[in-house]
Amino acid sequence: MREDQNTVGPRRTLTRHIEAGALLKFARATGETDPMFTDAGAEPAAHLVAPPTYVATFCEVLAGVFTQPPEHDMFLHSADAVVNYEPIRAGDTITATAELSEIARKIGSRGPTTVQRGMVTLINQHGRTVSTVEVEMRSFSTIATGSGND
Amino acid sequence: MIEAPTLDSFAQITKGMVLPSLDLTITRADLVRYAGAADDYVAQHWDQPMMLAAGFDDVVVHGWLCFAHMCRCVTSWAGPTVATIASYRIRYLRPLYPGPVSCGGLVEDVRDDTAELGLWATNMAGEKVTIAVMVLRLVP
Repeated sequence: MREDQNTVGPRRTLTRHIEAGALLKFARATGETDPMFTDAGAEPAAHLVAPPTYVATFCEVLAGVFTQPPEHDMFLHSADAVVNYEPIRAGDTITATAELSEIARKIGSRGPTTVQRGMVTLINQHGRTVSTVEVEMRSFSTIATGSGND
Repeated sequence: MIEAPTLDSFAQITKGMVLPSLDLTITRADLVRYAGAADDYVAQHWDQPMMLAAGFDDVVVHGWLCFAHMCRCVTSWAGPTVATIASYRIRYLRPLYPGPVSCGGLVEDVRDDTAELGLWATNMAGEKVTIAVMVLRLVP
């Protein structure tokens, strides 16, 4: 898998060439069995389509966008919102751009909590947006609450 | 509840249809496999001593992995040649630990070329851990 990363301030980008093998590996890991997602013998291989949640693999680009306050020792993924415009296929080159869209502080069930939302936009080699992925992450202190459970 | 059979066409979708449920057990090996496939190596999913020290019962199943299984209820019922997943909103209500999980869904609304689904996953205690709203679109 060819991959390039670039970090500029609060915006971060990641470019990947999508190989059929990566899609098959993801399909197996998520239990997908439909031939559209799993037919390794598809001709041409570009017919292989990414499984429904493959967009998740681009969310690592948010690692350089989200920040964890020093008083917080834990974070959990709390929500996602995805809009798909066209499928990701084997052979595509996808550039993911991540930006922090919102940061808020609140008192939640785990005490003082920081809620961060980041938006990831996936654009293919034709310059078309294939998906947008909004990710919400909550960070908090387990030392203050004494428990990770609700 | 009577689960709907696998669809041949989008026109068969009606409000109130119950999607086929999916019961499975997510193991630690599944988390390792998913981490590798998704490039998601966040410690919450593999560092059990850290999670126990932080007050959790175990490592936490990747939220996206749980949702991927919820999607299987959809794709096994309305395959990608019948409907495409246009959008979805997911909320992770509480941590899901390795072990049994049940996924299900219901058709909430149907319009000309779209259908709105409510999806959920429950843990072995029967508590909802993840819920989602998904919009399917007719494949022309």
